[in-house]
Amino acid sequence: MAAMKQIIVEGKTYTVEDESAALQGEGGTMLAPWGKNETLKYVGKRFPKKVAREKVTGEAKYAYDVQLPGMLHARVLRSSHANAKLLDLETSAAEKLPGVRAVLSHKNAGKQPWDRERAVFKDHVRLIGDDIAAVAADTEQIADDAVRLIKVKYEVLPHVIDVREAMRPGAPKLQPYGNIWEGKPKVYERGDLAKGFAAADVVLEETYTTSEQHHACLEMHGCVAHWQNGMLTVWDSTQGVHLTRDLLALKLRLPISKVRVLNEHLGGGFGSKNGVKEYHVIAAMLSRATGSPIRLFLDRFETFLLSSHRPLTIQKIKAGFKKDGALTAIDYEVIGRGGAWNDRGMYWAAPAVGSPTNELYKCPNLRTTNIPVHTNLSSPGACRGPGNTENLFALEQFMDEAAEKLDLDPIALRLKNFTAVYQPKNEPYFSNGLRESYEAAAKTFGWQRRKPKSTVEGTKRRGIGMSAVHWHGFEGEPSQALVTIYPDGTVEVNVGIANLGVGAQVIFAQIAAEEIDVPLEMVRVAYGDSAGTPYTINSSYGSRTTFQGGPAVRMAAADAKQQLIALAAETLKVPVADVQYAGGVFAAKSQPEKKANFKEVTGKLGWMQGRHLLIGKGKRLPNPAGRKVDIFGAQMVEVEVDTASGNVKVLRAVLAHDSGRPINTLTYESQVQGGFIQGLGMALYEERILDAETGVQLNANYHEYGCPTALDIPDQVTVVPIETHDLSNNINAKGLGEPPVTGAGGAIANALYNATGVRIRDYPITPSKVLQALRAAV
Amino acid sequence: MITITLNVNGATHKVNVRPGESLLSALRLGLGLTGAKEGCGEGDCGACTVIIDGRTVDSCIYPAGEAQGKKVRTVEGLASNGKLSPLQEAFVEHGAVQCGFCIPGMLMSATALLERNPKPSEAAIRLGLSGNLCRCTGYAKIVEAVRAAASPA
Repeated sequence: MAAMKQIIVEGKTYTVEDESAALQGEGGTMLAPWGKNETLKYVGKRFPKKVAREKVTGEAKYAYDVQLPGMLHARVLRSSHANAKLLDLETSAAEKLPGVRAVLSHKNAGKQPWDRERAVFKDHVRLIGDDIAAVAADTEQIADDAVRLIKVKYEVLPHVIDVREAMRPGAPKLQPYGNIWEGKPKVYERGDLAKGFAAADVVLEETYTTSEQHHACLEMHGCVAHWQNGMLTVWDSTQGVHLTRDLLALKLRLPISKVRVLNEHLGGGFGSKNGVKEYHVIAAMLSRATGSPIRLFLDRFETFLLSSHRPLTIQKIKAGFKKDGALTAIDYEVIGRGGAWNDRGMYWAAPAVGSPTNELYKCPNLRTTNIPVHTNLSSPGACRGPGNTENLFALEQFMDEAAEKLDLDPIALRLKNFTAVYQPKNEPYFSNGLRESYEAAAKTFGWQRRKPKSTVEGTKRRGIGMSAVHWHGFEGEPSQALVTIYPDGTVEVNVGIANLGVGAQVIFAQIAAEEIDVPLEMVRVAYGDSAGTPYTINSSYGSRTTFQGGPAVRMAAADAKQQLIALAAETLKVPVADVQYAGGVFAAKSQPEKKANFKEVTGKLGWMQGRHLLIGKGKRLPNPAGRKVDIFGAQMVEVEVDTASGNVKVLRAVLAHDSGRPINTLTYESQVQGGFIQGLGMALYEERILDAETGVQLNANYHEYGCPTALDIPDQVTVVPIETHDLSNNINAKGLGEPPVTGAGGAIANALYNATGVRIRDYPITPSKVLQALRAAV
Repeated sequence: MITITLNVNGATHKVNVRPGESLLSALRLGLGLTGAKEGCGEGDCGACTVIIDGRTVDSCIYPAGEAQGKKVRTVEGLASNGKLSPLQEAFVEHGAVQCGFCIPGMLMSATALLERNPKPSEAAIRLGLSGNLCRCTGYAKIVEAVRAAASPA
């Protein structure tokens, strides 16, 4: 029976699990969260990433760099129609090409399923780019040439690309249940909507659209697979070695013991490299067929076309307010463009959970309707801050529009509707630093100097705007870590994670150094190999790596330290309870002259001393029940709009983020700056432009797609960490990776309005849209 | 296959290449120098940037044969005797590296910039790096690192 306690939040009493009892548990190695004012030596400080040294010398090996003796290169033949049946497939010319080692298609490998709906190699393609056949050859060029020699005869069927078109009666039906995913919209409701609107003094309704942003990772998607002696080894460009291993084993019907996935360095993920794609299975099949290692990477065009993307959304928000700004009702609908197949991508087309509309503002009467729609396109996927980003780009413009109508300051309206309670489950948050974020951002930015309208004349107009930041935290899924202590004092943290490059390794090293009280240089972190690491995280998504793995690492370090103290007691010939440890020295409390330093004690370990190494085990305990983890913040920007060209330039940004306790303030800043710039890209430039007829992406290259460059960034991007004392886990962390993207769109659009008096509700805010709006406003 | 001679980071190598093979491919597959990266193969992202006779080029669209008789420098040549160059050191210390896939190219562009212009303005740094895409850092700490390396405190 969990120990419960009562807390009062916003005048109401809630019964929640007592965190000190929940996280302390039994056995002495389970830990309470660090105290609010606890002095920490390593945590909360700036430490550069150790692995950065390998990266600046070019030594770091990514999956893209893996070259094995006898390695073959693979390319895939992809469909050139958006919906078609294969009448004939002729591969003999490809097979005869010198240097070709294997050609696979539904004809000779048709039994390998991809999911419940389809095989890896299709005989009925549903989108341009669907996998039809694959070639392994001595070089990539030969494989490419061979793919071109394969002849396909199609029976072309009707298809649909436009999302509204796909919803109309008579549109080509892509799934047995129709084109709305699983047959009907997903609806969430609370309170009484009609009553809420009846009570409103002001009702506002607007529609917003967001574009298909592509992850555009610098390292393209792909892997090197080697099937040897019944064992499959995959060097993968992945966000999680364990998830990729588990899913490959499942798809290929192999025991987990026969699949090993490695990732030493990852060249960008942002949500696009979780789990497995067809190319993983194809590489494995080609390796099995040839006996050679197979390298299969998508090229940049294929990556843009197929690796997943943020969905296009059309969002309608209708809300009622009292004169004082209090929300009385929200009716929200999102249509999201999905792909042809009934896969996980349909969930990401219009995510039904974590919606800021449901959670961010106190609103008793609310309905949200999510409508993911099938079209003959590749599936969308989780793209940094999925769902919340699209939603906040709309909601935070809407709040500013409402503030103007109500004649309130934008921050005042948001504060009026602040809540410390997670409304869908009526649970208080462990922590909510939203108010502190507004306050700190406003102070750093100089928000009080904001004027309702720009006063600058001429073609350059300046304005300022803000947005809230929101991301949903997690509940603390199972996560394990090991900490091994070696005879020379080396502390090795062993974690099952890939290396996204955002600093999890240095963060875990800091946590272990803190708990064991050893210099950071003595800690090394082993990771990146599914065969040699515990299950720390299935894959690094959801901003969870520190939040999940950090508490497990701390517990493993504490366990190792307890064992060290026992060894010190033996060394000093005193009872365990008599040993105290600080600053690298073990001493007997009763006889202070009896002492041994860290390495004298660890020197007793190892085969030469006939003793085992010390291995500390740790796990992530679930968050104490009854409360919710969410992540908050506020972003403010100043923009300059050139009314002659329509260009919008962000001059400066202040980004205040509540992510619980910051563990490494250097990597923290870098994460927030980088996330914000991805949001800026989505707000102003980035969009997959598709041919309306076929769905082929017309700008499937970096030159035309429009990722921000060093010329597009603000002169100043100031990061303000808002430290809340979160009690959901023993390191007080909440997660940081995704929230920084979410506020950019609202803040920039609101600043544009402040500068020019025009609203662009259709992202990205391109110069032509700005010029059109300015002309229409004259 | 054609045998060509390349001078890379001060050493001379014989490399077999196909007609039209890119310098990037010759470096990576022929010489095993995988520091220069391929992010697009189309000359857009700058991850493959190397320095040829003092000028930066996108090695993915530069024919290997064209580099004969010229001095090619790659990221592997920046450190000497295991000691990082001041620019490399600044990238590490200022937290300018996240995933790192753009960094070899970014460092070559920044190296060429500082050799050309040892005291670049903020605008010159940004312009000098504008051919190199980074998707992780938002550039702020990269610009900061170049600034720091340009004017040692």
